[in-house]
Amino acid sequence: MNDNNKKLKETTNPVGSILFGWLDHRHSTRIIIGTLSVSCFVLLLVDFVYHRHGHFMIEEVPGFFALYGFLMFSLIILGATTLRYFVKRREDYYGTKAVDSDMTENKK
Amino acid sequence: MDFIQVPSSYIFYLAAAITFVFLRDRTLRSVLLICVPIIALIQVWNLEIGNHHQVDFFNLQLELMRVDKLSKVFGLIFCLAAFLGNLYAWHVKDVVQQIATLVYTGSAIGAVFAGDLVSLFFYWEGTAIASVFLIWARRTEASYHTGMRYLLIQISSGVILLAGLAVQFHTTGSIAFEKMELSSLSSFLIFISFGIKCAFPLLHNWLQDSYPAATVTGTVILSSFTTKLAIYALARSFAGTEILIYIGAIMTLFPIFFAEIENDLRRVLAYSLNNQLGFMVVGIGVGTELALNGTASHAFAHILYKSLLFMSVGAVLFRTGTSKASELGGLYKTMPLSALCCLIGAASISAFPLFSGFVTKSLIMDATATEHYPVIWCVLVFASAGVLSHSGIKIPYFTFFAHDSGLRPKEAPINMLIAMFITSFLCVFLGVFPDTLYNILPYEVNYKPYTISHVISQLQLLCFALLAFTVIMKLGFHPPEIRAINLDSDWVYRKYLPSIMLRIINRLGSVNESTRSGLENKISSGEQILLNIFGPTANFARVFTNGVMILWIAVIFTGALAIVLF
Amino acid sequence: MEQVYLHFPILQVLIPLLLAPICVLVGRSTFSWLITFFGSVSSLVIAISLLHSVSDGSSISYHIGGWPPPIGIEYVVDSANAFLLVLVSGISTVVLLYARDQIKLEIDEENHTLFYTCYLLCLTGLLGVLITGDVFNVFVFLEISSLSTYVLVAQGAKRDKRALKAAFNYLIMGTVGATFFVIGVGFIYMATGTLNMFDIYERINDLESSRTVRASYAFIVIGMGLKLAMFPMHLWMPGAYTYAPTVVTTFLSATATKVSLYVLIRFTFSVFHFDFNFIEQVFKFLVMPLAIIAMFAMSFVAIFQKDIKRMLAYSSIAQIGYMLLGVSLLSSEGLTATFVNLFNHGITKATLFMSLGVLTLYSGKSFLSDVQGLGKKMPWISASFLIGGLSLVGIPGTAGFISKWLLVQATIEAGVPILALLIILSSLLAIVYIWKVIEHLYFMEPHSELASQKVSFRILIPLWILSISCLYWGFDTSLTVGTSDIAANNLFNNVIKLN
Repeated sequence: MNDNNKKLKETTNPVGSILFGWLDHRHSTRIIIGTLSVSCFVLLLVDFVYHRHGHFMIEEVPGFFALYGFLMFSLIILGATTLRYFVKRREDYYGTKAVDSDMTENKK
Repeated sequence: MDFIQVPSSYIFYLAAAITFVFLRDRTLRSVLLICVPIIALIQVWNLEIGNHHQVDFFNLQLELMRVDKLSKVFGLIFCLAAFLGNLYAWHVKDVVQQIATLVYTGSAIGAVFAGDLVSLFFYWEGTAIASVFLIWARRTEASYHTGMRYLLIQISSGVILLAGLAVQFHTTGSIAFEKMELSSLSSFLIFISFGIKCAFPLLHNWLQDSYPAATVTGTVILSSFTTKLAIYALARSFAGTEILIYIGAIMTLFPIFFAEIENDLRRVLAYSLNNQLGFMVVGIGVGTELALNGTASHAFAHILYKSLLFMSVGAVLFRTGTSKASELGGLYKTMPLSALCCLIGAASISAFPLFSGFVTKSLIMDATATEHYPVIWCVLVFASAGVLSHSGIKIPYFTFFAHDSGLRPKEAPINMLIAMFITSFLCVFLGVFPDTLYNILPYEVNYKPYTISHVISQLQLLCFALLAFTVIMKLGFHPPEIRAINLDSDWVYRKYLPSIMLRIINRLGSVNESTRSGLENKISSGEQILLNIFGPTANFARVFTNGVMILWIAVIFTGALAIVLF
Repeated sequence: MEQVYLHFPILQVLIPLLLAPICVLVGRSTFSWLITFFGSVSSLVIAISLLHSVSDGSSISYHIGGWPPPIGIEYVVDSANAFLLVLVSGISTVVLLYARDQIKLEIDEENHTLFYTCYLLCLTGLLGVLITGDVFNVFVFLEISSLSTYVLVAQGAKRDKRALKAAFNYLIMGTVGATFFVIGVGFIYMATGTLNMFDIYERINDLESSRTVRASYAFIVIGMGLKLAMFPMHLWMPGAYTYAPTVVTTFLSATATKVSLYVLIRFTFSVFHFDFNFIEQVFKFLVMPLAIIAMFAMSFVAIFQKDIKRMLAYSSIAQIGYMLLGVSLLSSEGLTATFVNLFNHGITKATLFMSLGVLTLYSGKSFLSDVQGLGKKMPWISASFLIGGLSLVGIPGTAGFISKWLLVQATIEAGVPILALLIILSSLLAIVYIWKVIEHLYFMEPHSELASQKVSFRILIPLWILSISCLYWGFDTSLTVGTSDIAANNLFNNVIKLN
């Protein structure tokens, strides 16, 4: 979220500055990542304190969901990148018969 | 009391007729469009269980109002979705879209309450024909072609349904729309027909092809009905059919990857829709009471949050003229409320605790676990992470945050905002008070979503997936948003088959020493042959003198005499 | 009142017949329209009450002048012809509702009274053909309707002189047809010595091998084939339909050919015995192949027409193919399908021709390019054309679907599913030509010089009566299918006998 760090204060929408104004803060990225890391750590920690119940044995292994979530997400990104290598085409591949080359929608 | 038991679809059809005939004033039309779903909602809410309305058609008895708990929950959510969609579309002036919406939603609701296959077929085709106008209403050449493809596939689904129904009627003499075994020819045909509308793998392309092609408001409407109608039909007829579990599992998997690399955000949502349908199909396949409850409730919640996501992306499209991730970013500055609603939708679809997806999806997950499908369960957990990746993160992040695109559009119009607020509220409300939803489900629910174990596992899954996203972004491994399209299996009929045809024809052409090439020319030469036989100057159509006519009479008469006398 | 009711069968014919000369005497356009309209409405009322009283499958026999048959002339009403009486008088009434405005533009003022007179005579003839139980009477009424039809067609000459030639061709062909028919009737009389249909039916029983009887059937098939535009004896029809005033085209397309087809059916089932070997042969080797060729060839021809009126005329010939196909199955189901088809195609074609007439009211030309973009300028009229078109194609939810469906079922019942396939295939062709019109109506920009034209309610109302009935009969099939079913069963089992 580097880009959000820009010191742009051109938000014209007052609601916007209340809701998301803090995103324009210099350290917002760091705050977000920090919060996320801390919560992850806490959640992982809970597993060693509290014994979760599940239908399958594996569910009860401490940290299973954490590991599974992390790995699978990475796998998805990896898989998608690979897939793109094979299926990517120009936008006008299907010519006028596909909507992708319509740049703008008529404002109605 | 009789009044409230007329088929709900009639209310919509009547409104469509009134709109068509009387309402020249745009505001009146918009008001009507909002009122009708509310009236229908009240009607459906008050319906008693039972069969209320029979119509004789040839020698068949059609059940137009079969009300049980399953049809009722779908009827309710359809009315609700119609209301929200129409509120979102308050500003639309195009009467074609408004009538199409009414007929489309009316047919979908009618189909839900149809108690036999014949009326189901009529409503089935009704949804197909009416909905295509929401695509054509964009009025570009591309949308015309896309609409044609969409219509072709939807109509085919109906025709296959008709064939299945005919076979069933012929063999068993029944047109009942009831639970069936996937064993006879008729049930296979009906299964395929439902499968097309439900976007089974390899039959799914129409979904990703057409939804991004509809108008801003049209997509919101489209996203709610067609596929969920198919889910309803499957749940009604094929609950417990094991193959559905595997079909559903594949459905949850493959769209994830396509959604991840797709640039058009509305198409990302279409893929995500397909993936969500997968969960419901798995639920139908498992077929226990818990699983069917899961499917119904997931459909309910899904319609809401998917509409919400389509609404927020639609608002962006409406204001900026594009829905491509590569062109967007940083819109939170000027569209903060849309961004907020989008985030709520994203949280709901990713099944964060306290949002609606959490309390419904877990029913299905739990059902697969209880019935001991460990692999399927793993797949679904994987798919949950996938949902987070494209709908939970990609949609809001690349639209409203990420790099600043420099676009500074106005906030969405007030009617859109109201629609989005109401939908957001419902998403959160269902998440916080799941029992309201559980109480209207087909079967009794003995399930507590908010156990410590469940909340913690879900949070772990999601937070670590988010962590993975952050790491991947930092490392720069995330596939960049670029202007491109991705091939899907529709490539077969949009590119491959035509090219094969062209090649065959060229080959034949060279054999015939015909110098023409290209499909167009070939078609026109075929037309030329027909023209030579049947065209205005050809023998079949010429204006003859009386003599020639008499000659013909003589010939035929001789023939007749010969037949008669010998 | 009781007394009048008993005389309904003769009044059915008599009222329009007697009103015709009064029309001439009145001599004013508006008055004669009123008289004609009155005649038509009363025919409709009578027809409906007749249909009502025979709806249980019974039949009414009326002896003219109190002379019992076979000496006197007998009128017989059963569900078959009562059904068509309603169709003919109903279409006539609806057409008349809009005829006034239309013929003001299409026909010279001084001809109006004569036009209405001929119209009444034509109606008389058609109703008479339907109701009579006497074979020679059929010929007489057929000629009454035909002769007046020639005049009606020729009225198109104000707009296009080619109407005269078309009328002349029609006259020649119609007369040839009538001649064939009357020769056939003569042969029957020679063989059996009677003209009463039901009397003939009794006597002809053991005359199957008689060459006279056989030849008479060939003559009658050809005669009626000409009148009902059976391919390839249809050549008079496109011209006549194209150049006649729209009112006339609308009326004729919905009634005239249908009545001739009725005659063919009546002769096949109630005069001859349909299980005569030679009749089966005629249908198997002559009528059915020609019907199938018509279904395809004429649809293809229609596709390539630029003039919509002509396109619809060719489409009618193709549709007659479906009806003949239904008859030629020689089964009760096939007959039912044909009767439903007669009715549904009648209202469908009337809708199409009428809406086309209004669309081209001011331009007077009915080429595809003349209607382009009118979907926006005349939405009501175009929508009604659309409905008619859908019904013609046979989209579910329209009347046309019901008739196609029944026909498909009948072919499957008869054990020739290949015919069902052919029916569906040829329906696809109908989509093509109807689509061409729809495309011009809705997907093209209108000619800029065309101002938006107001169409009065006098035109809209009858037009929408027809369009809505196209839809209505697609859902409520109790009248159409129910009556046809009874009619077909009666004809098939020949339980025509009198109460």
